[in-house]
Amino acid sequence: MAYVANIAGVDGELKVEVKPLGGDLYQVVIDGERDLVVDVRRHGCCVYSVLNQGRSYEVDVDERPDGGYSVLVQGEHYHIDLVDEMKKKLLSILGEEMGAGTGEVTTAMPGKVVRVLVSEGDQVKKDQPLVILEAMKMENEFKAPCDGVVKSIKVKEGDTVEANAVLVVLEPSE
Amino acid sequence: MFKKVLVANRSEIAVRLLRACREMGITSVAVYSDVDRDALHVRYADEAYPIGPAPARESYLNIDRIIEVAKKAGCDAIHPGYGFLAENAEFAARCEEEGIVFIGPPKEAIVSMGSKTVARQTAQKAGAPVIPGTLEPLTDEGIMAKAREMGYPVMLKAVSGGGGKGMRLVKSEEEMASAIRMARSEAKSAFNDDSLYLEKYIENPRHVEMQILVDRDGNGIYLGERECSIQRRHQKVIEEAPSVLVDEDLRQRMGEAALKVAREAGYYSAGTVEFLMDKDRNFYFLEVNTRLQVEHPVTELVTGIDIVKEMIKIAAGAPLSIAQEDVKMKGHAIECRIYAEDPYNNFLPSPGTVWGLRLPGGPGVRVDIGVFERAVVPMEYDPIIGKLIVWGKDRREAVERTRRALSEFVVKGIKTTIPFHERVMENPLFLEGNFDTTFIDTVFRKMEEAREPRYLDVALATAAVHLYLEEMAPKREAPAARGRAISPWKLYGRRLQMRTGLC
Repeated sequence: MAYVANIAGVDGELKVEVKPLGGDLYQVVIDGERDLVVDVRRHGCCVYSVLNQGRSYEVDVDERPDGGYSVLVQGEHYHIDLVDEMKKKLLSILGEEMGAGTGEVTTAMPGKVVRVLVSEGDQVKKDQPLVILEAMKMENEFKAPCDGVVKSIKVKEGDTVEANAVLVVLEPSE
Repeated sequence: MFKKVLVANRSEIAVRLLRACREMGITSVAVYSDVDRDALHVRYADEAYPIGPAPARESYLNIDRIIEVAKKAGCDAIHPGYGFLAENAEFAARCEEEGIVFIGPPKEAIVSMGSKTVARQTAQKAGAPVIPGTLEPLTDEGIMAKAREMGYPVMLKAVSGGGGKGMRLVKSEEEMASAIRMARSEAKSAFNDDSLYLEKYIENPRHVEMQILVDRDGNGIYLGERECSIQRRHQKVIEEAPSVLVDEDLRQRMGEAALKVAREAGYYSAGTVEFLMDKDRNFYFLEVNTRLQVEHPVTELVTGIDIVKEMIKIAAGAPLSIAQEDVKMKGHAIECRIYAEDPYNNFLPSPGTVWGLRLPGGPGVRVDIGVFERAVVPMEYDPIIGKLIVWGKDRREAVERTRRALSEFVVKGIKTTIPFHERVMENPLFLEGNFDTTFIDTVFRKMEEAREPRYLDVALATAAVHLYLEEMAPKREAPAARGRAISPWKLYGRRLQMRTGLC
């Protein structure tokens, strides 16, 4: 089975092939050249004991809310986006049809809306603060990612929002 | 001794205080807000009562309600922990009026040390070295004139300051007007007091503080220093004892200076006198924390003294049972604060559900924690969820052990500062003891950006095998909903959501 991986902090895509060798053994080829044989035992939903050339690793593989994986090895964290090569092709076709970029400003953290600094129809500049959100005694500003017009505001002051919620939708200017 | 003590706090520090009560045979009472019904401190206490809605000012800061609970439950004392009501003189006064003992310093000392300028005056009177600057609040014009006279850079600070709020480093006169405006506005909203004063900026400062214990008769001892220079947003994240800079002679001078300040302020209870230290090991009085500190366990591990129990005994009127010559620092201790924050995204808060937790153990390891598997970390309160405190026979063993314990420490579902601590414990400058309060924002960040990942191939291979297994067995019910394979359509929907800020 072939996959395509994007890893936070690593440039470019990596191709990863997985071949089962029977039992717990798998051959994994990264980018056609780095060849690993791993002995993989799964514990519970997402803890793996991995042996590679006699070295033992405890690896946690957790699905992240945004669809990628959070992988923890010996205290080092990796954010890995991994997609089946076939599905990736399907996605890229779909992506083109649906049109990219929605101008949505979302929040990665849950919090309480302290202030909304713009109104619908406002012309905004890149990096202009739009909404201030508070969580755990700390205030965070959400800024316009580009110049544009405020199409709609999805929150009001005092609202509590979940992670990944849309705060403001912008109509980017050409 | 007290019969029943109310703990007016939550999370790890509430559990820490409840543990002391249990050891001393004191019945303990917890209080909780609406979002904390399932919290650990509620389960640990002998009794627990609700005090109101989630926002702190309606629950953990609600003096009337907490006093009402204490009286109804028949408590003879209240321990405020740190944060919330710990340095609130009005609360200390209310406890006194109601005939309940406030386990902390006298209210007068909370008031005087709460004002940074009064604290500076007190320290000067006590003969402790004070950072050059003003002893009174200043007008805008006064700040301008004084800063010119002192010479830049200067520190502009809020008189009622704390936690890094209302504080600005000003490097030149051009920056001053806007710095004054911002500092006043921040101080006004944080402390309802916009008065400011000036201090000379100490280059490459290190934060070294002295733990003291003073009984009601004014007999005091110092328990040695803590080095707290590893900070983010002017807040400590790693503390250790002893400091690599402090020898026995310096310790004695700092300890005696700290006790003189406490005496001048009429202080009793456990307390901390904070100092800044320059690169020539000159120390200057910074402020007094009139409460139990987050980092008190490092001192407990090197001295063997239970600071919380001593604090309770002092509040109950007992004379100090430890003499200065009996206080010995043995070995080295390091504390790592575990915050629900994303260290890879500017320490952004990360509240949510802890759906997996593995705690470290083994020799020399202490974990003070306020969460458990499936616990919810609410967004309303401080992001601290626990502390890892490690003891070793010397600094080197303490660092190696901390590194080992961190590798065992797994928190899932929310982001934490654990990976950050792991990196610091491998940083060559930290290992040398060569750092100051600017460490994280300057050298550490640069060194981390240049670092190569070590286990990339193993991580990638395991993730790929994981996905392969999921795809090969799509019908198998995963033990948790999270392990399930996802359809490309769902994935696609998520991708769309991910396109945040793409224009």
